This record gives sequence, C-alpha cells and structure tokens, in this order.
Amino acid sequence: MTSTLRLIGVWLAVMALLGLSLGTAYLPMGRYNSIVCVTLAFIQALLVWTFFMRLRWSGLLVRLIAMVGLLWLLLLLGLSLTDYLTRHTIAS
Amino acid sequence: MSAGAEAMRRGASANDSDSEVGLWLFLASEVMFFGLLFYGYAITRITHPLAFAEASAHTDVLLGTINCVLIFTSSLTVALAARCLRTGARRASLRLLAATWTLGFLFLAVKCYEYDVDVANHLVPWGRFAFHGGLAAGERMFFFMYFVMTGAHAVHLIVGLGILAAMVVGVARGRYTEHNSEAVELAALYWALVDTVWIFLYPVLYLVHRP
Repeated sequence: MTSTLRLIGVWLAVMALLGLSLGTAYLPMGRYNSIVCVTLAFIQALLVWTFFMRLRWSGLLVRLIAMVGLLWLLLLLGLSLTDYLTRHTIAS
Repeated sequence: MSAGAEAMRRGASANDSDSEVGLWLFLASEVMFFGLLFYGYAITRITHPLAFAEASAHTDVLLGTINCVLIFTSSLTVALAARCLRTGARRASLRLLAATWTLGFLFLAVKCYEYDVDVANHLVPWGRFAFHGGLAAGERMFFFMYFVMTGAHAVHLIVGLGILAAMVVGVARGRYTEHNSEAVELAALYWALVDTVWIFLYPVLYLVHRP
C-alpha cells in the first residue's frame, strides 16, 4: 500500500510541476521563461524515470544504460550546439 | 543504506533480467531518435527566435495541457498496473491497464481534434499557410517541427496502444500473472518513455511565448 501511495505522490508532484510550468509561462520573464519550463520538464522526467520506470530499484546495468543514453544525448546536443550558438548570422 | 548503494552492492545483474536490459537499450536508442528531433527544433529556434515565439502563440495551450494531464495520469495507472500484477492483484491490474488504454486513446482523440483545428486555421506549413509576414519562413519551420515531433510521438503512442491492448487480453485470459508479469512490466516502461517525450514536447511547442 505504501508503494502505491508513493506512486500517487509522484503523480501529484508531476501534476504540480505541470501547473507551475503553465503558470510561469504567462509571467514576463523573457528568455528565462523557456529555461524555467525546460528545467521543470527535466525534473518531471527524472521523477517518471526514477519511480514510474523503477530506476530507483533497478540493478547497475539498467542504470548504466539509462545514464549513458542521457550522457550521449547531452554530448551530441551540446557539442553540435557549440556551432550554432557561436555563429553571428542575422536572425529573423 | 540508500536504494542506489544497495543496488551497487548487489552488483550488476542483481535484479535486471535480460529482457529488461534489452528493453532499456531500445529505450536509449529511442532517446537518440527523439533527441535528434529536439536538436532540429533547437537549431531552427536559435536561427528564428522571433518567428518561433510568434508561431508558438498559435498552438492550442488548453488542448496541450489537457493532453499533459491525460498522459501523465496514464503513466501512473500503467505503473500501478504493473505493480498490482506483480503482487497478485490481477483484477486491479486489468482495470488499471484498461484505464491506461482509455487515457491513451483520449490523448489521441484530443490530438486528432487539435490537428483538425490546426488544418482549419491553415497552420500546416505545406499548402496555404496562415502567415505571410516577414517571419513566415521561420513560422513555417516551427509548424514543420510541430507536426513532425507530435506526429512521431503519436506513432509511438499508437504502437503503445496496440501493446497495451495485448496486455489487457493477456491478463484477462490469465496468460500474464504474478509469476509471469514481465511483459506487462516492459509495456509499462515503454509507455512511460512515450510519456517522457510529451513532458518535453509540451514546453517547447506550447509554452515558448505566452503573452
């Protein structure tokens, strides 16, 4: 029962973060709007992966695959973006 | 001792079955697939920031948020369904799987309705497009990414609905039980990944600029 309640608690947290994300989107924060929204999305995803996808109870191998998947993605995106973020073209 | 340290101590294969490891490898490759779509989104947004802000304001934030609620709830029900089956509560598991399928189907129905509204508003970038100003090229790019990303997600969701339907039948017929619950566990993992993708699609498509 306690583990059912924990899953429901995680769901409530994900929903609360959704509300926060939607709410902050209407505040005039300029470029920080997107930074806040995407950060909240990362927290939501972390909750889903940790509890709904049971990474918290997984063995080393599965944890490794999950982490390496994320690491390669961040390397891929990060290194590729160094190009576009340092160009000086005129944006529309 | 934390659960993490405990898992480390028990060693690599303590509680990872081969099929679980295989599915996680598949999920990691799915992360790469969607990652590239997000990368495409990022570079077009960097090169067309104003157009993306303007175009994003034309997405339907109400429908997008309703779909968040539907799919976030469905990943709770599928996690509970797998847990119930593991602990032998087969009827509860069956109900939760059916609820997950229904939530997924409702998500798809809302998405189809939203596409219909988008088409009516001429937001489809090929064909007669709603925007004609100086930002139109970037706005086309935004809606191109919008349709490709939500479309790829919808295809995954439809596959997930097929898998869930098979799980419902399997549990109902007694093929999947507390002694043979792995298929349902793996289906729940896949479904949660589809949910994760929507977690990121929502802010980058619907919340870029809300005046």
